[in-house]
Amino acid sequence: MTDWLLGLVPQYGLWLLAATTFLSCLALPFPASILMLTAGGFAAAGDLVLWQAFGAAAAGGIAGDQLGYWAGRGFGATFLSKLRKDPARDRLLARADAMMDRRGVMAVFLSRWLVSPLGPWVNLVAGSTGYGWPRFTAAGVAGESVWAGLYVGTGYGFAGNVEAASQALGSALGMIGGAGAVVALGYWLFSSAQGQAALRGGKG
Amino acid sequence: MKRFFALWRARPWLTSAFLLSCVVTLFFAGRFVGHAVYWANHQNEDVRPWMTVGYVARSWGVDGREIDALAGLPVPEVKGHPQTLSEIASDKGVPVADVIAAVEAAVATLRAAKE
Repeated sequence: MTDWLLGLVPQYGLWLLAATTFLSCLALPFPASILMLTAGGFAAAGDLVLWQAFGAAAAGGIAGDQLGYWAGRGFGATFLSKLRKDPARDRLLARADAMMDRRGVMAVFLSRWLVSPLGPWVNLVAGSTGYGWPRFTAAGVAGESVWAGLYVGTGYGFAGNVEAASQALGSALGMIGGAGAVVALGYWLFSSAQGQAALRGGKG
Repeated sequence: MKRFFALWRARPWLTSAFLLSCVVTLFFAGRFVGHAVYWANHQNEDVRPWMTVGYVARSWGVDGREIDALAGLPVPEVKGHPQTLSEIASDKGVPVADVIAAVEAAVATLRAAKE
């Protein structure tokens, strides 16, 4: 299916791109990342315009987020409890819920691009728990812009080799996520009283 | 080192998680460098049906319009939007493999001429 979709990019370009990012933000299995990378490649080849490809991808994602958020608001608790009957979804939703409680803006922002599988669930949770719309939208727009910018930009930069671009970007995101964990855990570890005591050579 | 063991005794899980995230980060960093180096030496992507002539040209560092001329393909302006190789093939009524072969031959000629 991916090859067939890729072949439609030069013809239906921007609409196809926007539709794919829109649907992938509703947790539907559309290959948005590979399509954005390819669109970047087509932009480098002169078949698409770079800023338009970026705009279409981001706009689709932003619209998808809004639909998810308002679906969460509308159907709220009933919808969520139905979804939670599936254990795998329940786990994802519980993680999204926990993230939301602690730091909502960061959760919305990072679940757009760094941990994007959580994105659709964060939208539903945000809507159904009545998370503020202006904050949600601001963080969502920023996150989708980073998402679209990263993928379309990498496709542009790696013009003509989608596979290499996809692997390099996957590694880069893994690296960013890992480094974030190192900083957070390191801070937690070294600033804790027990950690401080251990480093001073005393008993923890 | 001694202090580190003391730290590990005091917070075994947290220290392990910290070390694990360091390893994961280094792994992805290494992979990233590997891909970047590989890409720098292998920029060319095999010609596929979903590609346009412009895309192939960009990937192989040649001029797309010269590929069109050599392989006898229509220029993009004919239909108002860039055409994929499979679209060109179905318009001409030939298998897409023929168009790919023609494009590959044209690319090979153009690259040989450049060197």
